[in-house]
Amino acid sequence: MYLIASQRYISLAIMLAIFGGIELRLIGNPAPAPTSTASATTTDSSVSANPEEQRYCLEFVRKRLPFYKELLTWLPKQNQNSSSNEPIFAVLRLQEDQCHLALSYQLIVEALAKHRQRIGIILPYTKDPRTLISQDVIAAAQEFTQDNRLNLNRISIFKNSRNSYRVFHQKLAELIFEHQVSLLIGGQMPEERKLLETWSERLQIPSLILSQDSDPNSVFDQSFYLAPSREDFAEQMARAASESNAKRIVVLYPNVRVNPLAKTLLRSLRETPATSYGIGYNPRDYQSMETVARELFHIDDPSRNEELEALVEEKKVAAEELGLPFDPRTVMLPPVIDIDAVFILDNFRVVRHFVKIFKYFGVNDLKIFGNQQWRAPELVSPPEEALTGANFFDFIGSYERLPYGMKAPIFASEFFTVPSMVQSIDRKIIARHAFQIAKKVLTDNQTARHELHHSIRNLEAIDSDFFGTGPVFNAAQSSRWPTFVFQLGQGFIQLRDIRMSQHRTQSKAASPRKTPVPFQSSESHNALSRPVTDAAEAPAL
Amino acid sequence: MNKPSEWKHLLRWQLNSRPDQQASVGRRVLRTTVLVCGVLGFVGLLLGLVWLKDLGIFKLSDEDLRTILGYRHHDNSVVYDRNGQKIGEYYSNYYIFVPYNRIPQTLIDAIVSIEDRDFFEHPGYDTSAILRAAFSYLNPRSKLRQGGSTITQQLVRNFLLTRERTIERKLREIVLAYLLEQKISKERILEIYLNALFLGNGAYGVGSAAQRYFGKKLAELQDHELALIAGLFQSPSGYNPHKFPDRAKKRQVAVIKAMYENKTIDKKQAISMIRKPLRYQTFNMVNLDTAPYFVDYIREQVQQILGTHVKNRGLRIHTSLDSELQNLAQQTFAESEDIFQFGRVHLQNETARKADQLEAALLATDPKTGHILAMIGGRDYQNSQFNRAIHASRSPGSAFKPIVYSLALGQGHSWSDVIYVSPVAVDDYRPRNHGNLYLTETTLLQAFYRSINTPVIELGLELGMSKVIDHARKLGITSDIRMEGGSLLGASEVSLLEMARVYGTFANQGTKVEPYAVLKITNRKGEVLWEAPTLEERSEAVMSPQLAFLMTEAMRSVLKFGTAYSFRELADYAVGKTGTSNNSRDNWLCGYTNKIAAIVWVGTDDPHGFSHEVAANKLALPIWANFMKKAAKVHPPELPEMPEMVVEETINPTFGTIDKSGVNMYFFENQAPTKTQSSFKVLTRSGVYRGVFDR
Repeated sequence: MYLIASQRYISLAIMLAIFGGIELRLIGNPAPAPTSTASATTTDSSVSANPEEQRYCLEFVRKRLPFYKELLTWLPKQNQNSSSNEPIFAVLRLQEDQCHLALSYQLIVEALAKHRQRIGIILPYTKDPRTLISQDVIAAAQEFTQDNRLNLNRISIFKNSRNSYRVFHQKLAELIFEHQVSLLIGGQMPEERKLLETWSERLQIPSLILSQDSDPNSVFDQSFYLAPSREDFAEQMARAASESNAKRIVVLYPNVRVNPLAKTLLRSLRETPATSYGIGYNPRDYQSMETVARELFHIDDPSRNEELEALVEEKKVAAEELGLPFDPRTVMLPPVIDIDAVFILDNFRVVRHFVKIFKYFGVNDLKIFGNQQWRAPELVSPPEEALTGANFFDFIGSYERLPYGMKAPIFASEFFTVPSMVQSIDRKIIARHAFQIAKKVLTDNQTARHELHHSIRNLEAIDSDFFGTGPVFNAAQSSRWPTFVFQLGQGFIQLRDIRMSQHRTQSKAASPRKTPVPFQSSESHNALSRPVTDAAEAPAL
Repeated sequence: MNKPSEWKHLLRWQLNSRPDQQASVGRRVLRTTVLVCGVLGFVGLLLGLVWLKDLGIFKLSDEDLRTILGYRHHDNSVVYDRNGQKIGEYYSNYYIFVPYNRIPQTLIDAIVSIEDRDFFEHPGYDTSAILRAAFSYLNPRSKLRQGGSTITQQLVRNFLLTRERTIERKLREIVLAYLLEQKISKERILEIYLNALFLGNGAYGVGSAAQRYFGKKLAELQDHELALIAGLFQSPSGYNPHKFPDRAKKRQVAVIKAMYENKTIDKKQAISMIRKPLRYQTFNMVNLDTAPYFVDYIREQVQQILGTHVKNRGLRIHTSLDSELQNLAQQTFAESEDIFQFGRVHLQNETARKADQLEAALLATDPKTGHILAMIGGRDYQNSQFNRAIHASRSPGSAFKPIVYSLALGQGHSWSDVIYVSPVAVDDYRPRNHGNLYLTETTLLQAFYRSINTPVIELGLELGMSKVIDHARKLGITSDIRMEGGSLLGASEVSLLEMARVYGTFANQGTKVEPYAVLKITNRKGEVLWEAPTLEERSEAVMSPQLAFLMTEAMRSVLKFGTAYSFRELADYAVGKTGTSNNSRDNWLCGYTNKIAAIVWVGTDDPHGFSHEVAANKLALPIWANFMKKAAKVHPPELPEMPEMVVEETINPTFGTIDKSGVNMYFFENQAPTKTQSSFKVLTRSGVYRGVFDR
């Protein structure tokens, strides 16, 4: 197959060389319009492209080719290889006036389809904490190749973006033009995720993003999000809370930074019968947290002033009777609990403090829900009675049953790992998930690169024991993860439930999108989405 | 006694001795005259005898001398420090008894020469002197105003009679002197005379006069000084050398002349004695010199022990006071004026500030023996005799916390246990942390050495208030501890003595020893009247040496890293705990080495608050530290040895994990943490924790 392809590339290169010469000659002298339909397999330079191919070519040249050219500029001059016969370089010389030729269309298809069955990983691993994060991805890659008896260097190419916009583009250009990788893995950090999403779409190269979908409303067909879906997670939390008969729910969340989970959860809660609202606080400021509790339990509610006055008087009389000193400042109204449950979307430490603040105001038995940030031995050690019965949700269950047979050290119980590893394991699982998907896609398909995203989208769960059956990705192209529900006891946590996200067969393309892709109309997007399974077998357009 | 019969015999003798003669007229006249005179004389004699009888002269007997015969020498009760140095005395009248055989011969010679040169010869009265006195009495114009009283008569007069100048009194004096001489020796008479009579300036007897005028013991006085003392008997107030030095000098010269005339000294000696200058010393009450509050405390203790007053009882009270340490304590207070001024200006009560009502107290004990080594009950004894070291009941604040923590450790907690520092409420009691320190985590040790309040409340509630109170009792708190949350933070008042008992127990490896100051009481003959119980009798093991060691090392952390950090260099040999009650009304530092447990308190008697700049570490700590530095030179401390079944680990003070950059913590064997990792550390380092959905 590669031999055939090579022969074809040589023909194409010759043609482009000719066209290149024509191009030089035709400046200010438009070429004649193509007159016949081009065959995908023909090498005849005189064959004309059909109208659809011409339109496709024109669109490509006008709207997509500039991105390739732009990316090329990030390569050093000596590496730009303007005379290379590789389709990816050859296509860069394509002009609009050449679109009447079937060969032009074919060249485009070849350039977009060709890949070398390698995974391009672009990560910043020079600065903390990115270094740590990248190290986890590298470690996950190493474990993945070891477990699958693969040669890491043969299947992947790591590039260090050094957390620099410039370097990111240089390395991306290298991966695209020099290594012609099949797909990209990266985007752990928000800034690189955005770049990767954009360039994947521009270049029609699938990306496995190691984090969340930055905006569920955006349309990035080529981007797939490997981190547990925030939407699914929030939905499971909301449902669980609702199922616990909580009618009035408050979501407490740290407001010192953007809190997408809180936002998503509140949205999900609105879809349940429960009434809900959120209160933000500064987790570094005790006063802020105390204020939240006061507000939550109506401690300082002005409508209770009379009640407070009566209580002060009552305490004063009691103190006088006992001959004790009386300080009215110590008198506090009892709490008014008009909520059924509270979500605390913060880490175990804040949770413990919040619970103590609640107790300080006389609230000892509130139904409390939390998220994966709760999960630490310190949540239950020392035991806190007021937390007994509380639930939190996580995307990892037992550390003894991680996906893909991954191993993690156990710390005190199967539900805890050593603290220094806990974040690393989260990242490694996500990275491993990405590598497993990449391997599956590249092994099972000889698909054209720009069509790989279809394979990814339709992929069934690789480790169904952990992820459950069904597609790996949901309609928003976020990875479907199970949601584990834990319950707190006195000094321990126990797994209470495992909830799987619903299969949503609705395709991404059919799902309503509000934000257009940054550079392409949906029309052209559809045109580019036609399946090309292999460069050598590229269907005629 | 046969006095009346003697007098009748004398009368008979006189009557019988009259001549029975035949006479002529002249002789008859003469005889008649004589007869008349005789009759008159006889009548007069009879009348005289009747008069004397009326006066009761013939009834005078030993009973009338009982006061003298049964006289017991008064003597101050004397207090000695642990080295036998006199540090105090108790008396109503200032007596220092000197037995006859210890009275310098020069003084006896001087007294006899000036007061009664025939003392050792006469029968108690001196006829010629009596006649001189009679003449003087009958002739109002006579300028002679001699008393004519022998030493014995003076003694009789001082003890038994008034000082009125009547024949009747004189006759009784003579008779009683005579009778006294029949009953006791001249030496005994002189001993009583020299020891009992008032000699001015509050002194009774030559011993006390020597002390009050010359600041010396009698045996230490030189001859010329003794001569002055001898001169005082005639008119103690008139010759008081402090008030009338010239008169006193003249009187001394008169004494020396009398000695010369009496040939007890030669001319050369007399001149030498006269020429020697007299150097008087103002009397300093020994009670005020060294440890006035301690001496007061001893009096209370001895009265309690013996059930009676102690003044002038001649008791010899041996105490535990270490005068050297006491001096260092007083020196420390003297050097702490800046600290007191700092405290004073920060008093919130203006009156107290203006009047400088700031007070302080210090109590130092030997933790092994319980001996009270030093005691200062206030800044100025002259100004206030209220002994704050013993009688003040004040809130110990955080100095109470070791009691709660030691119970918690004994009940299974360990120093590395982590606690979330958040507010707590016990009913309406809502204690706050200093600097509103919340939203943090800490090990118990860090909470202890930083003196964070809320963890103690939580521990106390977990342990149970009654258990805490029982434990406090066991450690030595005897005051009432109220059954309320505030007591966990030291709201219930205690004394310094109680705190010394508690901290002494920690210092003494868990063995409580009752603090003692009175070691032995004897009479002046050395007979033991009372002796302190033995150490074994006073000791009680109330906690294991391991637990005491854990507490000791925790209190070392207070100096190394905590509220007493400003004196961290002391951690090399001392440990301690600060205590500040509400509004800094009471500022404590309770601490110890293995040799000394020292408690320092600073505050005001009417508990006034201070502004927020003031706390124990600003007032009590520097005083305590200064004292301990000094004390360490006198009693070089040794670091306690780590007992068996205790292990040491370096622990992160916040997260409670093994951490080489942490602080040393001590644990019961098998209780040491094994964790090297903490989720807190992960959170602290990365700022986020499992923030998968945030990216």
